[in-house]
Amino acid sequence: MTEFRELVRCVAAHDGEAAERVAAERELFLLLAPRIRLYGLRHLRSETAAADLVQEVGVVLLEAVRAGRIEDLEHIERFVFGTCRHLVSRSRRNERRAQAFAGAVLPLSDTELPPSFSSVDSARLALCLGRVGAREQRVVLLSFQEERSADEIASELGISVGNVRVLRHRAMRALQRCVEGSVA
Amino acid sequence: MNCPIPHELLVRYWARDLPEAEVDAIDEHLFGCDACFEASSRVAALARALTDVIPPIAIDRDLELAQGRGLRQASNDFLPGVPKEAWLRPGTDLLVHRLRLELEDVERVSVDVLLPNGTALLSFADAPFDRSSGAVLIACRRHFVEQFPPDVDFVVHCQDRSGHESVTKYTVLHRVG
Repeated sequence: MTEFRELVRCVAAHDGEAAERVAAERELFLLLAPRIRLYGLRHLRSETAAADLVQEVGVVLLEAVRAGRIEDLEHIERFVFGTCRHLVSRSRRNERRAQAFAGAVLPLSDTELPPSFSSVDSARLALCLGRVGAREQRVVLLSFQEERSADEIASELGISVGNVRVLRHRAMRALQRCVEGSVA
Repeated sequence: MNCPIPHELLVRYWARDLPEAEVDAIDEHLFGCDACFEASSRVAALARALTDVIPPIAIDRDLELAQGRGLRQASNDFLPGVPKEAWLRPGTDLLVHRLRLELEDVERVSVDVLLPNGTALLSFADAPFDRSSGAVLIACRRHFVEQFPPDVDFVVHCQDRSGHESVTKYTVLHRVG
């Protein structure tokens, strides 16, 4: 997190459109954007909504940094987390999204952001899925494709909730090794 | 929050199987920890990819879900020892081979995919099946048809409740046109 703090200090220390400030803002955003997007994906369940969240949080963060409003620089990530939580909570209440502050220019476009999460080879995943046990396969599909709770899965398969969690974890571990490894 | 976050906990986090307080603690930790953020991203990528994957050996429920997502399917019945063509036509996303057999008393199914000369291509040791369907379902995506040789044998091993194993062979001649 030292890198975050140094970048924030750099942004705050330079005025206007100074090259150092622009570069620091860009780097800060590059470091934080994947985390904001991951949070958005988990809580908003949509790539598009997660990408919107990245932009919104980026605006709020830069505004705060430029204005010197972040009191606890040692824990800049807490400010970002709090902003994410606030914006997601507001989004859930279906409030209108806040307008970016006047003159805000984000240092990156969407195309410059790191790759998003749809990077798993689906053909490979299918073959890997065929290699986990039938019951493990059913548990992960019910969990992630049908979004069933552990209780619902346990009831459907006639096993305990604890067993569902063990099977799901075991399958996810095996799938991860398979899709990321060299043997399908 | 223990660091690194155990893999099992990350799986529960992405499966939405944790109390809110734990989710909140993990959220905050992920903003400040590179290693856990990386681990969580990998689980997230897999969880997302699983939302629309079709297992190569499927049950009808998988195919119904795929149909609901707009995947166009063509289904063919196959009998043991009777070679038959399966055509992947333009506009078809998925070929379903229904390998017909009696499954009432079957406890476990495994499937080997072989070339006509016996060379093994793929093996699925514990395949899903639905006893009432009377068929083992092979879900053959377009990329499989294009990636693997066209003529293959599916050798299905069924183990019944008494441990007896039966073996049946189906020959599928994949054609594109």
